[in-house]
Formats: sequence, C-alpha cells, structure tokens
Amino acid sequence: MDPAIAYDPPSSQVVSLAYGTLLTLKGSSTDLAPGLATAWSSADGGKVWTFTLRKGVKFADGTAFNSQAVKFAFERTIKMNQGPAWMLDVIQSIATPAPDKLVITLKYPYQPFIYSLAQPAGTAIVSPAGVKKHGDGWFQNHTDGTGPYQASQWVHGQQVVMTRNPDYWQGWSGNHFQKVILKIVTEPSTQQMLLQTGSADMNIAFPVSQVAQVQGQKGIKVLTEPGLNILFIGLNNKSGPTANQLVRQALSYTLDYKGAVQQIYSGYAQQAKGPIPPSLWGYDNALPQYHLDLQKAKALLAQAGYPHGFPMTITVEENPLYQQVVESWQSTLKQVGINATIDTMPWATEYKKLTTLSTAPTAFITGWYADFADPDDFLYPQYASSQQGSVGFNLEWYGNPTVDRLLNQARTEPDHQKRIALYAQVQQILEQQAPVLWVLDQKTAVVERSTVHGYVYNALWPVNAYAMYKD
Amino acid sequence: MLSFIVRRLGQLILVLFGMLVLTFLVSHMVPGDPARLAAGLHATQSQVEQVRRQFGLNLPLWAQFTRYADGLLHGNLGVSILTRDPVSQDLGAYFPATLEITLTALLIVLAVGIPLGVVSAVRRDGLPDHFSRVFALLGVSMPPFWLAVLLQEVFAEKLGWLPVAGMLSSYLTPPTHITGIYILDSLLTGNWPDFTSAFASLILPSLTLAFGSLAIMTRMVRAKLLDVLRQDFIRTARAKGVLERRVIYRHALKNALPPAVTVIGLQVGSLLQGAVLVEAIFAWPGVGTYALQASEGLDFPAILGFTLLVSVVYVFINTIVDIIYAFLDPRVSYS
Repeated sequence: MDPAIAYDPPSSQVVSLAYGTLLTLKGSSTDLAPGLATAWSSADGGKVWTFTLRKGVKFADGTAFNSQAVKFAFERTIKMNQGPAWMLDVIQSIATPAPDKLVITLKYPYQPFIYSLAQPAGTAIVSPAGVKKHGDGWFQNHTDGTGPYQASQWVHGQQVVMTRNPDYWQGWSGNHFQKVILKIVTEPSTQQMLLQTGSADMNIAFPVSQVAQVQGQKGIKVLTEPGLNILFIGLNNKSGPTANQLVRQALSYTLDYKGAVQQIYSGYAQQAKGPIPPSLWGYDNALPQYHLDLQKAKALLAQAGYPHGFPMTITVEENPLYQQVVESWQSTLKQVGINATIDTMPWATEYKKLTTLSTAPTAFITGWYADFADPDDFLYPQYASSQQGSVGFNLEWYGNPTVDRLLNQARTEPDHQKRIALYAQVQQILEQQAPVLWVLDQKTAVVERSTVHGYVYNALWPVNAYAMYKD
Repeated sequence: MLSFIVRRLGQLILVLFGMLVLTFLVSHMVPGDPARLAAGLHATQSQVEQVRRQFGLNLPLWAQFTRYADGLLHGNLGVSILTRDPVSQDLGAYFPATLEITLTALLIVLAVGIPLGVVSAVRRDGLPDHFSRVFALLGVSMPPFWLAVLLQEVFAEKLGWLPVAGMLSSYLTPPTHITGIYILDSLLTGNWPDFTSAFASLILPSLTLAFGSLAIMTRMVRAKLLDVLRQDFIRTARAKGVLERRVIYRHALKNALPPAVTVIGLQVGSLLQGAVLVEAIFAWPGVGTYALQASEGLDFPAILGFTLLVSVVYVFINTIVDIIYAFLDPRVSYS
C-alpha cells in the first residue's frame, strides 16, 4: 500500500482512496484539475514549477499537510527508488518558501511533469509524521494520507477494508459511503456471480468477454468507458524483412481490425488511429487508418521484393484476447503467402526475448496503459530511439532522428497548442513508417448494481468512491 | 516403530533436498527476468538492478542456491520478490486457508466415502451400488472447474443458500488468530457470527475439492470389502453365527481399510493440487493462490517455499498413513 512502491492496479486503488496528489483530472477527461494544489505555474520553459497548496488539509493522523510534507514524500519516493519512482526522476530540487508554497526545479525543462502529478503512482503524499512514527515498512500494510478513505483492515488475499477518514478536507455532508471494501477475486465467472447475487456492488474492469451475460439483467447496469490504452502489434524494425518500411506497410493491411474489435473484443473497443487513444488530448482524429486490404498488401510485398511472402514468428503472452487477435492475423497472413508461427510464453519470458535484438521475433503483440495523461507517455517510451530494448518500451527497435527531435521539442514546449501540433507531426511520420500495427483502443466495462450512483470513470482514477452513494 | 520413524525422517530430508535442487534448477531455467517483473515494466535499469542485487539474483546459480540453503538451515525461507515479505510469513498467512479446505475435504472423503463404499459392497448390484458407480464415474470425469461453477450457480446464485466465494462475509472481521483456520478459531473464541459465516463459506469449496477423491475412496472401499467378504475367515465367522453387522464392521471392514487408508496418503497430493484451482474459483486465499502468483512472477523464493511446504506435508501425511497401517494390520512391521 506504500505509494512509493505500489505500482499495480489493485495497490493503486488503495493508494488513490487513501492519499492525495497535487493535481487530479477533471471528471472523465484528461484536463488538469486542482487537487492538494489549488494553483500552479511554470517558468523557464517548464523547468521551474510553482504550486500554491490547499490550506486546512490534514493527514489521517491529524498532522497538517503543507509544502514540507510534499517535499518529504517526494524525496522519500526518489530515495526508495522502487517501481513508480521514475515519475519523479526528473526532479532536481524542491523548495518550500512557505507552508502553502512549493517550488520544484527539474533537471531540464519537461512539460509532461505537471501531468505526472495528476495520477497517484509515486506522487501520492504520505504523512511525514506517520513515517517518523512507524517507519517505512509500516506503509506496506497501512495507510496515512489525506484521502477520503483509509485502510482499516487488510485480510491478505481476501480484501482490503477502507474506512471513512473523518478529517477529509472535502467534508462528509451529503450521501457518502462509510466503508469501501475492495475484494480480491481473480476468476471472471466468480466476479460475475458476486455482482449478480448482490454480494458485490461494482466491478471497475469487468471482463469484456462476459459483458453480454450480464447486460440487461435485472438490478445490474453496464457502463462503457473509454480507456487510456492501446493494443498494438510491434514489428522488428531493425532486422529481418520487417526492417523494410514497405513490408511493415504491407503487414498493416493484413489485419482484420474490424473483426478484432467486434468479435474478439465484443465491441468493447474501437480501431486505433495511430498511437494515441481517443480520450487523450493530442489524439488526431484526421489521422489515416490502415484497414484490411490483402490486394494492397500483396502489391506492397511484391514491391519490397517478397512476392511469395516469408516465414515469421509472432510472440504472444498467455492472454486469451491477445492470442485470438494473433491467430486471426496468422490466418490472413497466410493469404498473402506469409507463414507465421505463433510462440506463446509468459510475459517475463517474452519480455526478455523482445529486449534482446538477437532473440527478438518478427512481431509481437502487447498493450500499453497510460502512466499519466500526456501524449509523451504514449510516444516517447515507445518510439524514441533512446528507449530501445530494456531502456524504455521501444520493443520494436524503432529509430528516427526526426521523430526524436520532435518528441524532445514537444517535451520542452510551454505552449499547449504548439505541443499538440508537434505531436500531430510525430503521428503523421509514424503512420507513414508503420513501426507497429495499432490495433485498437480497449474500452472498459464497468458493471455496477442499479442501486449504486455517482460513479464517474477516469482511466487514471478508477475508484472515485467518495462521490458515490447507494439507494 | 521408533527406528521406522527415524528412518522416515531421514528419508524426508533427502527427499526435500532433492525437491529443492530440482525446483531451483527448473524454475531458473524458465527464461525471464524476475527482477524486471518485480520492479515493474516502466522501472529504470538502475531500479531493476537494485531489485536484482537485493534478492541476490545477480549471483551465479550455485551461489544463489548455497545462499538459499544456508538460510534454510537457519530457518529462513528468504523474502518474496513480489510481496517483499518473508516467505515463511507469507506461507504462514496463506497455508491455514488451504489446510482448512483440504482437511474438510479429507473429512468428507472419509465420512462419506467409507460408509458409501460399505453400503455399495453390502448391497452389491442394488440401488446404492448403481448410484455409487455413476457417482464414481462423475467424480473422475467431471472437471473440478465445471463442478465448482455448477455448485456456485445452484446453491449461491439460484437458491441463495451459500456464499459465492470468500472465506468469510465481507462485513465481518476475521476471528482472533489462533490457528488461522477460521472455523476453528471462531469456535475456540466463541465468535458465532464468524463461525456461521466461515462454515457456510467452507461448504462449496471443500465439496468441490472432495468430489474426485470421494468417488475413488467409495470404489476402493467397495472393491476391498468385496474381496475380504470372499475370504474363508468371513465364512467361518458367519458359520459361527456372528451377527452380519459385526461380520461386516468388526471383521471385514477392519481388513479392508488398510489399503483404503493408503489411498488417503496419495489423495492428499491430489487434494493439494486441486486446491490451486478451487482457491481461484472461490477466491480462497490459500497457498495455491500464492503459488500461482509466484510462478507467474518468477518469484523463486516463494516457489521454493511452496514446494518445500507441499513436500513436507505430503511426506508427513504418508508417514502417518504408514503408521496407521501398521496399527490396523498387525502383520505389518517396520522394524
């Protein structure tokens, strides 16, 4: 439960309920909103950030929230250097000129920084008094933050019970829950049954393959929400036939995108338009999309010197939906003369193969989920040449100096509209060069009992229990 | 008998060592980077290296094994790469739940399997015998997953008699920890709401787990009893005018039980295996769940700890079974 360590979805749910962050996101959007900071500004091209902090906020232990607490929490995360610490890697120094004034100086101008503060991983603020009193280890199993609910019980492997924090700064007037119980259930059929019997009130990431079974059932409502993610098939841009742009473009015309969306993802997705999902600012709706066109694919393959196709390997982890997409692709590839072998393996094994050029396959399928609401998160780790191999997430070994230049420029450009324009240019180049096949942006199915109200989905803040109530 | 037990303990240590070496080698042969998995996909290389050093994953294999074995001799099972807690603590937290369903399943196998086997043998080719035949067929051919979902649908969803999943109602606090087995702890502390909830929660998972072994036990007892009932000494007993009830329970069953008891020892292994699946479906936080997570995350200390635990339990149970066998059958001697 330690915000400096927690980096998986279940832990993040606890952290987002128990702790606050300087900023948050407005409703379902990716627009910034005040959190524990009420105002912010940047100077020096995004190198120096100044925050005005909210007054009158307390931690669950009763001590005051102030600039010193933020400095302590951030420096603690950096020092512990666990999973989410990389979010704060860019910080050079933190100054606290007043209890409600915070100045963060970065190592270099970096505009996405402000968006990284609007999500809980690594940036949620622990109570310094709590750390001093209990030590760091205590926070793995307990919480002490400014959030609306604090962990009162953790039955390992079963559930975490979060109880109302009476000192929560937004107050408790109106209809709010006393407790939020996060149950640990891995089996999809069991999740469904818990909802149907009323033993559970909601599931924020219901398996899409089972939505049809609960849709229309009495007492249950299904909400479809856009995610901040992308499913893509990476191609080896450095070696083999796919190092040739024409081959990559050809392959982009061999996938049944519609089938993947409608059949495999049961309609809970939409075909991707480039690397950025539609709910994130910077998404370019005018970007052209590849589509299934085997004639075009064959022509491009012939032009590239592969009129009879070539053998290739596709690696996939043990995810049934990914496997189905790859199997569908395998059958259409056959029609253009390409014999694809599918290698299924655990993600740990696959990752090792992908990050070593000598063992990297021709293609692989994987997904990317947003760390924070900035296009830089979807572009830089995946397409900057410095992020190849195990450094970032550029598992397709793509490199383009122009893209590198544009991405670096966008990182330091203070004007929001100019950033959008730079990212539009990057997307145009990527679309042309087709380093990967952007398959789809998955939607999230939120299933809740009809008696539950007030839920507002946000991909980076999926459990806004404070705003919810029951009949 | 004492020398038998001492010999068995010696064998246990050898078996454990062999299991450890084998599991260690096999788990390290699976390609993958546990340090990267634990640090997280987005972790920087320095963070990954930090985790690697923290867990000694940068050392050569023989050094890692030596380090682990040395820790073992001092009662230290290492630290889980995923949970960051001592493995012994994790196993201590998760094992009671597995013990709870496994022991209950074993109880069902004995309490229902033996009487059912007796009735099938005594009323051979009668209705109970036909029922037990069908039951045995279902037991070995019905996938546990399917049975589990079926039981959930009928008893939890449709009838609403029993909970869908979990060890206890979400609204209750677990009983004061004495053994970690909820049904025992709640009974010992007089916590009746917890006892009722724990009892209700235990029924479906332990029934699912017991089903296959129950069918085997029934058929085994039936077969052995029929065999024994054909023996000369049974004919003698009947000729002497011994009551049929006494013939069956006092003379025949006592001789038919030892092989059936041996089956228990073997079935414990399959019960522990089956627990992994049952725990997943019923959201039951036992070592099966722990082991599954450990294997997906290449959590070597946890994998080794789980293997050790299962090996110890298996050998221990089979030793007990052999001792019981010697008591049941005076012809058997281990000296």
